[in-house]
Amino acid sequence: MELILIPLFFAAVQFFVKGRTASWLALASTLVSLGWTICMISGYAMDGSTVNLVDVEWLKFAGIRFTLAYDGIALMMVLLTNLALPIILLASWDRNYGKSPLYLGLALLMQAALVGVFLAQDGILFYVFWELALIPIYFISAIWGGENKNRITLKFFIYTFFGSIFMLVGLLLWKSYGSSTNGFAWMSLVQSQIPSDIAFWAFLGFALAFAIKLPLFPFHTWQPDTYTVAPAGGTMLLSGIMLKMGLFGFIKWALPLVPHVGENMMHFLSVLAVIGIVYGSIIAIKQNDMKRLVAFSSMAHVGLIAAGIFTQSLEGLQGAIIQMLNHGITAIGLFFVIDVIERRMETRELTLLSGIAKVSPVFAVMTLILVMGSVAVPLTNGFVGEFILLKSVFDSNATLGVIAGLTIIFCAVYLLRMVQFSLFGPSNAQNEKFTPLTWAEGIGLGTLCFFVLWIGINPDPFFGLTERSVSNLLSLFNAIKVMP
Amino acid sequence: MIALVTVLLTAIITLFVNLVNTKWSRPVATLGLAVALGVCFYDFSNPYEDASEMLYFSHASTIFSGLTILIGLILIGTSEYSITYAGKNRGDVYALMLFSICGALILFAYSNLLMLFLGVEILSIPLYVLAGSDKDNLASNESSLKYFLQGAFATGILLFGIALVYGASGSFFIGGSKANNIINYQLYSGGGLTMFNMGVFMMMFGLAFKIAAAPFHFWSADVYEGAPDLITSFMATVVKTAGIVAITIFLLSIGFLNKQWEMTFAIMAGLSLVVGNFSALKQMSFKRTLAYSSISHAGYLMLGITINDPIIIPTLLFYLLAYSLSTLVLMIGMSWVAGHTGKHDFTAFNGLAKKHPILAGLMAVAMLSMAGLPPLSGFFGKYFIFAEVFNQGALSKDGGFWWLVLVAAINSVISIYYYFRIIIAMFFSPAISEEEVPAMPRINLFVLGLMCLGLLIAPLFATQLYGLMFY
Repeated sequence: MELILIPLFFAAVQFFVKGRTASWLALASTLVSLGWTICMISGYAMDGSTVNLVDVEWLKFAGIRFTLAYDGIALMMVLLTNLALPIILLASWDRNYGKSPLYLGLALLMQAALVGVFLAQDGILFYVFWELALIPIYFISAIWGGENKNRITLKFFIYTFFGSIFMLVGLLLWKSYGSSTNGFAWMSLVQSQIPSDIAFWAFLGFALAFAIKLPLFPFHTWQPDTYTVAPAGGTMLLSGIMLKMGLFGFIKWALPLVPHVGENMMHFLSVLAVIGIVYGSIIAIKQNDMKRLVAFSSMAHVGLIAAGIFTQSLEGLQGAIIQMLNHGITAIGLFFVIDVIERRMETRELTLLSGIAKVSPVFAVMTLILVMGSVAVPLTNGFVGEFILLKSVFDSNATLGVIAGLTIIFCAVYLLRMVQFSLFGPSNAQNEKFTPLTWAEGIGLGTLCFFVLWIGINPDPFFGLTERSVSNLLSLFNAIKVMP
Repeated sequence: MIALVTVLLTAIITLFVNLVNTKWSRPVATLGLAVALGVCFYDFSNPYEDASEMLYFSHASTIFSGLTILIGLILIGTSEYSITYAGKNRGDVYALMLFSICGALILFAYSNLLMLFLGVEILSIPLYVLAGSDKDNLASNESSLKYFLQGAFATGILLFGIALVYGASGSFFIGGSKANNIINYQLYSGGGLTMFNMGVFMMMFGLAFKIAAAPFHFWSADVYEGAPDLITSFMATVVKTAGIVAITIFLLSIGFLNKQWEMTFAIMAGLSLVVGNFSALKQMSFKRTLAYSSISHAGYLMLGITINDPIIIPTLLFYLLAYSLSTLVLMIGMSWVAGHTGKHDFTAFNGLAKKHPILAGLMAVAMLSMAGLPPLSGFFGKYFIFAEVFNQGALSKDGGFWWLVLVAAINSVISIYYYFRIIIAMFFSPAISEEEVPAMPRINLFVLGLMCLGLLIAPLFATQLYGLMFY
């Protein structure tokens, strides 16, 4: 509960403060949240149990409760959110928008909503937080966005809202036609029986909402434009945390319906995910704008995570969850790097950049670590996650597994191309503009690199956090009785 | 009943006060409504009948009366600048608004078709005048004439419908304690079901006109646009509330009688949603957009009425509360901006957030609530209606009107497009208007803030609100 109230409180405080005080207060708030999260994790028994935080009656006549609880999976997501927020604030520390109390307030509001999404145990509460997360990011992108921002951000908003309204319909179907004994409570919904034709429509509603958020292959058209047009902080929020909402939603809210609708649906979705991997990768290779390049690469990586979730195996889910954390770290890192370059060189075009490594070797090393993490080189975090994901996809369907495996090769191609063009090569005259990293940038990038290597070398604590929760979840789903 | 008398007396006193000193009319009207609001709460006791049992004051009717009086209070209280067009006659405008509220109060409590007709007339006739109260403005005159011609026609048909229902049943009483009410029409029937149904159909025609539901909506855009801002806000909130409640009371009392009325209503609801939303997409004027959006809101409300169960009354109340509050915030904000720039276009709002961040922020909150984004009341209003329709569908064999919820859901996505145009104009577009919009008076801003706060916290108290209805 405090994890939601702290950011909300400091978001409200932003109304009354000005200048650097606002930035420091916001940063302090995110650090407190991070500390709180770490305390929660260290206090968690790692046994897959669900710990109730708050559980009160809200709208009794409508069967809605205000219930927040966490298990290992939720803790992992909360950790990602609260780890990412301070870094995002550091990334925008010296930018004009980063100094605005409005931006800081919106970012904190977003944090509260995201934590709410991961902790909510009630369908409607989940939906409320899910939509609440959309409003601040819309304003962040639309106020401080680049060219064509009005059109692109409105498209983004309508697109995602379109998905989530069907999730609401799905929730209503699940509750009205299922035998849920306790309203919208998650556990009660999961254990309820529902006719398979109704379940099909409900699942479709959920899948649409989550697929648009990810985005899965045919629903991706909002993504590259929005990532490109949003300010760096907004892009980090979108790619680093917000799309994890979709993945998390699939694990927690869509998988319980699968036994009712049958496995065919999952195969269909896996194929979509794998198409997304190949499609995103191939387009990324041809990009000249670095932000667009990473946007498409993000689509490919998320496709792999989604494919892992669709296997519904312990390995697939474990890999997906750790890779969600990893992708959060590397995506934020890469957008951070691009922002650092853009601020100094005033361009993101690969063809205009060259030889930055000669001017700033420290920056180049950190960039390389993050790129390696994204390419999934052994001893980096990406390797740990992608390897397990690929294994799980391969085990469930060899053909898809092989095609999905291409992602690592493609990823090496486009990211190394990016590195080669921007960092290496002869230093060009523009590079004088490349001033040394500020302290905020140094700390931010350094932390990210530290996590890339830590998870790469010793992933066990992270796996341990979620392992029992995932197996509990799977056995719960396997025990679901299907209506004859 | 006491509230009704209080409002009526206030209206008359306002008229006389206006003769003495025009400046006093607003405080007097405001004070009178505040007293009436207090009386409403005081009146919140056991249900009772009045006026020869032709009015039935239930809890629901008292709460709806409270809502309407509150809307009037807010509108008149904040009207210091939006009334200036009326010059010396502002007291007359206030008095007419108060008379109109009296009509609404009757419509919340009628248990006799005569009272229904009286209520509709008392509600409408002042409005015909009010729509044209900006006498020097051609658009206002046009609006008044259009409203009067079509409104009189609709009322005539309503009256004809009542006559037919009376002919078939031999009674004006709907439900209630009377033995000889219209439900027992078989007892008295000479002409039978056909005549009765024809009568109900004509009554629905007349009432659907009042709430501007498609296909009886054609008057609304022009009338809303031409009428002074103050009157448009009044029509969009008070008249809509009164009309919806009147329809609900009547249909619940006859229990829909048969399935075909449910289907008629479902089709009207779907049509209102689609027509309202699609017409709103391409408007240049914010005021006209709001007019079309109010048609689509009538669609949501009628979707609720299809449920045919008294459970829907608190749901409608919640929706109307959310809709009215957000409409008021938007209309008052719009009338302030339009009053100083002289136009109602979206472009008049460009860059408002830079100059007046608080006003723009409050309007944005109201807009988000209207668009149905959680955690604001607008979302819960829609959600409760959807949930009731689904629950009803799960109980009935044919699935009820779940398809209509899909239509409504898709429409609420479409509505984002035009609702967000005002947000885009206020926040993300550079200012182009030459006219400088001064800062809104603190007190008005404070009232708008209170309303937005209401939008934010009303969902937390929805349970208590529902509890009140089934006292």
